[in-house]
Amino acid sequence: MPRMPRWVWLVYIVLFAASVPWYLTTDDVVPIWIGLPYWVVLSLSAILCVALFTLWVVRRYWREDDL
Amino acid sequence: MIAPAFGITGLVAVAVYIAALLYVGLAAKRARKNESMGEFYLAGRGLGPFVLFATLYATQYSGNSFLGYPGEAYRLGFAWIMSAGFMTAIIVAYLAIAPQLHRASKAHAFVTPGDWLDHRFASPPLTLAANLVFVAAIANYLLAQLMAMGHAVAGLSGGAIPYWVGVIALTAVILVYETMGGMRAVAWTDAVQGGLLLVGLGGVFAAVLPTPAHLGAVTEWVAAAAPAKVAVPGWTLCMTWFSTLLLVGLSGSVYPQAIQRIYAARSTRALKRGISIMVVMPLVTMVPLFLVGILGLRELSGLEGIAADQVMPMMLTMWAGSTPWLYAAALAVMLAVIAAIMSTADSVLLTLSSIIAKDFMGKTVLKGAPDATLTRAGKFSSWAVIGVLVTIAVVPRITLWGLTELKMEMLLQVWPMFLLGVHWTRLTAPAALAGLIVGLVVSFALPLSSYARPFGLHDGTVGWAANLFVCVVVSKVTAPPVFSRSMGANPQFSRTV
Repeated sequence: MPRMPRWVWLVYIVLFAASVPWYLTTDDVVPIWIGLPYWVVLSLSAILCVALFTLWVVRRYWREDDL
Repeated sequence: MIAPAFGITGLVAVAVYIAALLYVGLAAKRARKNESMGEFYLAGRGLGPFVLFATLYATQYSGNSFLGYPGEAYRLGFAWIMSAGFMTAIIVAYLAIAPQLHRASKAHAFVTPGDWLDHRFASPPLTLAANLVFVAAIANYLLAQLMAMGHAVAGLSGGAIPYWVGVIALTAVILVYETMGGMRAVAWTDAVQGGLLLVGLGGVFAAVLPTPAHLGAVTEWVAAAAPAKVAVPGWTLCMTWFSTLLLVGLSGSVYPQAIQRIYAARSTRALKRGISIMVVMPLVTMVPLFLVGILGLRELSGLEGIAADQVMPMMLTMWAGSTPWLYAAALAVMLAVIAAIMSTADSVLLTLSSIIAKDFMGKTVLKGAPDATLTRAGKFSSWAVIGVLVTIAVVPRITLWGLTELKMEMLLQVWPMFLLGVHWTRLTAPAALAGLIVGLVVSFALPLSSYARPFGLHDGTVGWAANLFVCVVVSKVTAPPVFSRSMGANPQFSRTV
């Protein structure tokens, strides 16, 4: 298998960093989106992106070169 | 632990489930072609995508996922959504080593994680040190599963079946099917157990799936009653969140039983498909369990500390008593809890047995012995290990549960030698060993000092950073590794491993 390009791991770092709400301000009132605090929806969206990105990476970069 | 809401039907369901496991174990025994270690411990290296996925799934999600995680959501609040992140991180970290390990294992017929370390580093002290970490971590993990089995059976029967009978009876079932069929039995029963997990989760979904309006009402109730559980996490909690992603994600990818599943895959295609399904399972699995804990905040207010671990059983009891449909769903979840515990315990026991037989006995008292002898020795040693652990488990000491957390921090220290070992040819054996030792010392010393959990980071994560640093620095100052066939290492390492 060829090595995965470095940007793949960079994307993973960005997506996982986005799954942790460190970049949001701790406001008193938390808006609710589809029944959940908005930051939970953002976190879940980032994890969904990780899953979809992984499906693509596995298809694109993992060569089936069995011995 | 669990109220007797399931009655005789629950016990009949468990009996049918156990009979199915034993039947599958017998079928696996018949399918076994010979007594080789590859056949017994890796199912002849022939697991297809479906069984591979099922065994990865059933092994990764333990009883703790079903019982402990809803409790954690109850205690911590919405920030426990981090569980979906760290379970996904395991698969991503797995992706960083699985292709290379799978290819090398096919070329060199590896059985244990130690086989790859021997191949890459040709350093008996390093392999021994890593194996000691593996054994200490997973023996402790196995003990926790045995205790969980006892609690689950006692709870399901409303105390009619004592805790110790649950431990011994379910352990005996595992020993029987595992001794008969080895990894094939474990993987096939994992397919049964994985199916139960999914049915159980379907049950949880059916029971808890609230409309956004309903969920919004619960969220607003929590925001009023316990604002901290809804608020955007502060800086320290975010640091702990990052640390947990690293701790669980990286250590989960080097569980020895997970590495053996890489070896056991029939082909690269099977492994790719198995991993592709696994990467969506954290969302499918953790979100319902998270929601159970969140819904419990309103339904079961007032649980504190360890009592919060009762959230799932109490919610199940509540649902089981409402309608026949929810009774069936709750029963499926209850069976799934037992399945999750057993499927993790059997995989860990098999891996433990393979390490003892091949890496410890095969290099000392049984050096040069044929595969069949080592396989037999492995079976006997698994009985001995389980005998010791059951003896400890029937007299439960709560402090042992606390050790479960330690296993992750220990396993995390093994990760650099796998990742760097796969991707960086310059990593030397002395560097990997020095990194492991420094990582362990830091992980164990920090909690005893006044600097425990600095900035919200786990002590194991700090040890891991020190470990990586030492690996790089020592590699730079020691002679580069020489890959030669005589040392058992791969001369074309950079291209083929």
